[in-house]
Amino acid sequence: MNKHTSYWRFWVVSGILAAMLLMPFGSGFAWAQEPIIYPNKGQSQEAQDKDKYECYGWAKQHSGFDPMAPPTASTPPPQAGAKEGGVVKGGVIGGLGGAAIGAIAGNTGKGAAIGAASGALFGGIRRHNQTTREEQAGQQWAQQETARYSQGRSEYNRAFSACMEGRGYTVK
Amino acid sequence: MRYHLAVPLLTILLLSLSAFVCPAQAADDNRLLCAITEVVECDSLGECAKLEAEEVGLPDFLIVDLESKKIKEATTVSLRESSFASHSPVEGITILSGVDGMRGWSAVLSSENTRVTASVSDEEAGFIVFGHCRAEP
Repeated sequence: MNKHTSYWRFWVVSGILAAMLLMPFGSGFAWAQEPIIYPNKGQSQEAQDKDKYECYGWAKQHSGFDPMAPPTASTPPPQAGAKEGGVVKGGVIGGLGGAAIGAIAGNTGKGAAIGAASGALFGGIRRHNQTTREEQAGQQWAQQETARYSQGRSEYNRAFSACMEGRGYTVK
Repeated sequence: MRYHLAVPLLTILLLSLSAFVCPAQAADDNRLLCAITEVVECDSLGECAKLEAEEVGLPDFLIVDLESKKIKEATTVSLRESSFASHSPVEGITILSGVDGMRGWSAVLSSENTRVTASVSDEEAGFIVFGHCRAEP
C-alpha cells in the first residue's frame, strides 16, 4: 500500500464518519442508528480504517444507499398555492387597474400583507382550508421521504454490520 | 313660585338623561359599527370550516358607511376597504353588494335585529360571514 492510497483512504473514512456525525442534524435521525464497532481480534487502527472503507463500499453497493451522499427527496414536494394562480393573476390585474387587489396566497402572512397593502377588504380574505390541506400534504410528503431515507439507511447499516462482523468485529 | 321653577328644571333633567338612555338616537344612522362573530369557509370539495375572523385575515370590527357606500376596517388608520352598491327592497332590510379584486360579495343587514350576514365568493371557495351591526356611537 503506497502513501498516496493511505491518505486517500483516510479522507474517505473521515468523510464517512463526518457524514455519520452530521446526518442526525440534517435529517433528524437518532444517534442510535450509528453502529458501534469493536475490534475482536485487536485489529490496528489502520486495519480498522481499511475494513470500514471496504465495508462501506460493499454495503453501499448491496443496499443501494450511500450514507455519504446528502439526503435527497425521491419525489418533488407538493407545490403550495398551485391552484391559486387565477386569483393571484387577478390580483395583478387589479393592481394594474388601481383597483382593490383580491390576492390570496398559501402563505397566510403574505395574503394578509397583500390584502392590507392593496386596500382589499374581502379580497384579502385568506383561504384557510387550502392552507391546511397544503400543510397536511407537506407533512405527509416529509414523512414519506423520511421513512424512505430511514429504510435505506437501515438497510445500509445491516449490510455494513454483516461485512464488519465477517471481518472479526463486533457491531452493535 | 316653587312650582314654576320645578317644571323647567325637570325638563332639563329629563333631556339630560335622555342623552344617556338613548345614545343610538344621537348616533349617525348612516354609519354602522359591525362585529364579526363567525366565519364559515366552504371550498369546491365540499369541505367547510368554522373560523374566527382573525383566522381568515378579517378584522373583528367593520364600519359600514351607507352614505359614502364604503365598508372598511374599524381602525383609526384603515387601509382596507371595499365599495358597494346598496338596495333596500323592504323596510328594515338593506342589501349591500360589491366587487373586491377577484371576489364578489353581498351582505344583508337587518335593522330589526341588528344581524348581518355576508357572503364572499371567488372561483374556488366561499365565505359566509356572520355578525351584528349597530349605529356607530
